[in-house]
Amino acid sequence: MRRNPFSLLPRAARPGARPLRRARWPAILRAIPQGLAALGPGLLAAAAGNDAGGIATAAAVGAASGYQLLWAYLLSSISLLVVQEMCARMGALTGRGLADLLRERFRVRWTALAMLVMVLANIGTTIAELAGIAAVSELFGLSRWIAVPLAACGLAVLVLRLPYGPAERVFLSLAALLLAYFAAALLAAPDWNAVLQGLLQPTPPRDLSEAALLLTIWGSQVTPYMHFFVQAAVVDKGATERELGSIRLDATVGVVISSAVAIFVVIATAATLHTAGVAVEDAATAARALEPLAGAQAALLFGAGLLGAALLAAGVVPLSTAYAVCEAFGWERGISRPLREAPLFYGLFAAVLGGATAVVLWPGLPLIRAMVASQFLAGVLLPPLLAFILLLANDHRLLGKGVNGPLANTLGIGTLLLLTALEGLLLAQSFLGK
Amino acid sequence: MNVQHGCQHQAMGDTAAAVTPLCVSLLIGVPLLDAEGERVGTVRDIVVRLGTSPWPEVTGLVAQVAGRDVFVPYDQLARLDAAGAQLRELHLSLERFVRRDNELLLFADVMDRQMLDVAGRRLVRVDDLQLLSADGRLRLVGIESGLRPLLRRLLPRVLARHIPPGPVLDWAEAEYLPHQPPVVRLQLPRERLARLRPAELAALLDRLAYPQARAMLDTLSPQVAADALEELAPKRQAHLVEGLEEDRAAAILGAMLPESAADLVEALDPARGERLLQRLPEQVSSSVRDLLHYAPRTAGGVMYPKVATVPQGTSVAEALAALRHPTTPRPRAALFVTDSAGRLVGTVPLGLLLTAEPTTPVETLIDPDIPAVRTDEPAPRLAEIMAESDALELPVVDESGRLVGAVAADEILEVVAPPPQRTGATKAFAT
Repeated sequence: MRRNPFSLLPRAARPGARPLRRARWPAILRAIPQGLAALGPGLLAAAAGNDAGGIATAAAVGAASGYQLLWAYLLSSISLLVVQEMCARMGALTGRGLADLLRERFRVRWTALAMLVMVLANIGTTIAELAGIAAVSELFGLSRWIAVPLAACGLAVLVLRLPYGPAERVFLSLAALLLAYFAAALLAAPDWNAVLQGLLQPTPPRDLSEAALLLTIWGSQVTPYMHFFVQAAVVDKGATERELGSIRLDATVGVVISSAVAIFVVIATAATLHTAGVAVEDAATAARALEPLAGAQAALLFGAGLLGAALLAAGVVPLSTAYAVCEAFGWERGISRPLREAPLFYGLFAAVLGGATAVVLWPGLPLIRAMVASQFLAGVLLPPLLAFILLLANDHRLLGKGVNGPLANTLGIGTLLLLTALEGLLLAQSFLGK
Repeated sequence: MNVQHGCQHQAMGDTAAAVTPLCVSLLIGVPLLDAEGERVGTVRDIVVRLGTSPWPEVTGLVAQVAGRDVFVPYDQLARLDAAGAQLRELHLSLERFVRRDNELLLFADVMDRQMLDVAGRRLVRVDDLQLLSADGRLRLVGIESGLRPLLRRLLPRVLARHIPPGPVLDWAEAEYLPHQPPVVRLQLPRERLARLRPAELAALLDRLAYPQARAMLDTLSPQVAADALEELAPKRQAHLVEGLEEDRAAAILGAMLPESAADLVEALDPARGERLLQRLPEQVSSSVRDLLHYAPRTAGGVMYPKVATVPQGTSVAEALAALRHPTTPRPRAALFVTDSAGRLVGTVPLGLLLTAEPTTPVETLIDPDIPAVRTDEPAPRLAEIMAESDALELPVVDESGRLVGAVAADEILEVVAPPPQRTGATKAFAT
């Protein structure tokens, strides 16, 4: 029998053994990754919410009305913060998704209405993302007939069948290129007095198109799917009442970053395109706002950033849609299920992504305008969802002491009233004529 | 899953004893009629009492009469169907309805909520409920879910009435999940859950929202709860245990294996973990505390402290007899030989032990290629050592060579080959 004289000795005592690794980190170092892990759902929701439609809208608004509507961005980011916090809080306190809560509280008929509204808004958002991909591809001379179907199929595989995390990091890094707008805005030497005035001095809409523009801005900022997403992500993280603080911080940081990007896109485009009297009709003009920073590379920078933002949302929005509908109605769902177990889930996913692809491939569709229009649609559809969320967030039986405080309710109801008033104005005008 | 098939939609019966299932969704909102057929109110809800039968009996209705909710006992009804609820006599108490323990309101408490389908190991959404009349009592028999009941509830009543009752999940096969916090006290039989294998129960717990999962842990016996918790990730365990009463949490912790208990305490808030440990019997808490000294992902962190040992000089027959003794920890893949001071002498693979002559001394069966590992050996390294030495179980020793525990291949597999994890945004939509 083979005899190893050292085999009974502990490893470390054997000649030539590696020194033992210290496995326990100091407490402070161990706390950092935990803190970073807590900063997640809200940040991601906000990053994905700052999508192609949002960027296109901000560029179009900046080019068309200069600094004048910056206040709407400031106020709508407050709306976004309030609603995101509500949903994140509901997720942490109940451990359940938004659609689940909607169904239990509002029963079948109202839930069906809420789901219809959400699906329509999400199809609009998906159209905006795919239009963003088409715009970038055409910026670089690739036909949308190749780029869009390719992207849709690629995203479906990526989202449904692959780990997704690595791809997400790539998309996020691309989307982070949009932070270049900070520098671009500074380099464009905007009139800071006008910027400040635009931010802090709300101007009531003078005509129909301005009212519609306000709705569009709110729709681009407070995208309906973000609320379903942030709540699902908080639940998935397994956050409980104890992590409420970090969940709120996460939501706030996410909203601040994404709103800051949108505001700086407006400033950059206002300082360059608006002063030059150029309207944003395609991606190439939108990219010109980055010229003070990137010069000839502006189109590349803008294209990559927009592509990242579009890809980040284009796969997740259809997924979130299918999941929420199945959650509300109690159908088998989740990408870990095989197709035959969850046909409705995969069917909905395919319908949203496929439908949006078909719309974007419509011959002659003006891409930038389609992106802005989808944000208008989101703005129009937002009030009913907001009303449902507000009712849930005030439900004592559901949240106990965690119901909305007076501040959240004032801001939430204020947003609801403002959007409803804008819609009423638009409806009245379109029916009664000018 | 027990699926019954509902019969065709009943004709408008004129007795309370329906022979085909009644759909609760069609009863909510129907008029309450007096004995002469004149409308006196509206049916708001249906009350069942949880009793000894697995199919709860309908005790009455909640009806809105003269602007207030009143209770209408079932035996005061001449009939109840989709056309209305008719009173037998002209008497009706106008006392306000109050909720009582062990009673469920079918619309308020059950409809549109999720229940556990125990046999199917999944959550089902209650889209509709079916009542069936047998020997003069109306009982809750089934849960209907899917497109058919949804359509019945979406469509206007005139059309909905023509959608016949569909296949149901037997009520007796499902577990009701009360509101959190509960509205009334309910005595729910949980024997079906206690009969599940721990891994299956854990999978069900994992699918529940944490307030519901906590409530369920509260109703299970500490041993059943502990066995199920051990199958969950320590972080999820901590989330669930954190919300429990401390007595209850300590009872569950005490029923867990020491190594699992240590993982859980590690994942808990330190102050809370310490308070729970103090509530445990000294003997239990000290073995957990010993394990807590070791870092996770080291041999000490993954080992189990209770191992089967025999002293030097034992014969094979004596060793086998010792292993059969009920207080001896069950051996996994090896028997460890120690000296009088508890220091490790060597490891005997069970296969060798079983096939050896009864009179052989166990020392001669020691496999010299199986090394001892120190408590601070990194866990991934253990996989390499196992592969090199062909061992399925490794002894773990402290600085003085004393045997403190052992690690088997299954714990190491969890470390080196954890189940694939989805990352990024799609993770939220995985299950």
